Amino acid sequence: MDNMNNDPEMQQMLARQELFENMSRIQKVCWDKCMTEGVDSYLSPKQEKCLEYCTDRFVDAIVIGTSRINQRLSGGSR
Amino acid sequence: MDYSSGQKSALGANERAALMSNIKQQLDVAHAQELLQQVSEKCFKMCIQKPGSSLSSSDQKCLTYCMDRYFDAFNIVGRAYSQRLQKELANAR
Repeated sequence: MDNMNNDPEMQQMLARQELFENMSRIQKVCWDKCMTEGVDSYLSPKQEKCLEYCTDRFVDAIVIGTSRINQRLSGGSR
Repeated sequence: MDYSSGQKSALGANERAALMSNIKQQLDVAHAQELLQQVSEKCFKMCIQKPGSSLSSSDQKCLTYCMDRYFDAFNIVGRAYSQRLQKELANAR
């Protein structure tokens, strides 16, 4: 069987899946945060901004979480 | 069965392409199903406060709006996420 780890097309499929999972996770959390006033026939500018900001802040949380965990794993915790 | 063609486990180019296309299609279907589940749950929570014996027209309107807005939101999150990823990748250089 072809080695899937070296296969660029397979890597692309895996990347697609990971991208979708990440986006799904963010979507679920940010929908709850930003759509507290209900829905209408369009997204308000306030709701749109909230979703954008929320996505950015969520990625911040992941970045910080990752670096803290790495610190702990390499024995550098306080 | 032809065992004379060397590695019988290796895929020909056509078979490969077909396999990749098949995998991509299955991924797309799985993603659509996942989104449907999310939308159903979120919109039910938002629109159906007290389940009655039938769906009122205002609840129905809410559900319709909600589903459309969910996909609008998904596009916004997707765009923001891609932009952020590109920024992180650029910073990492």
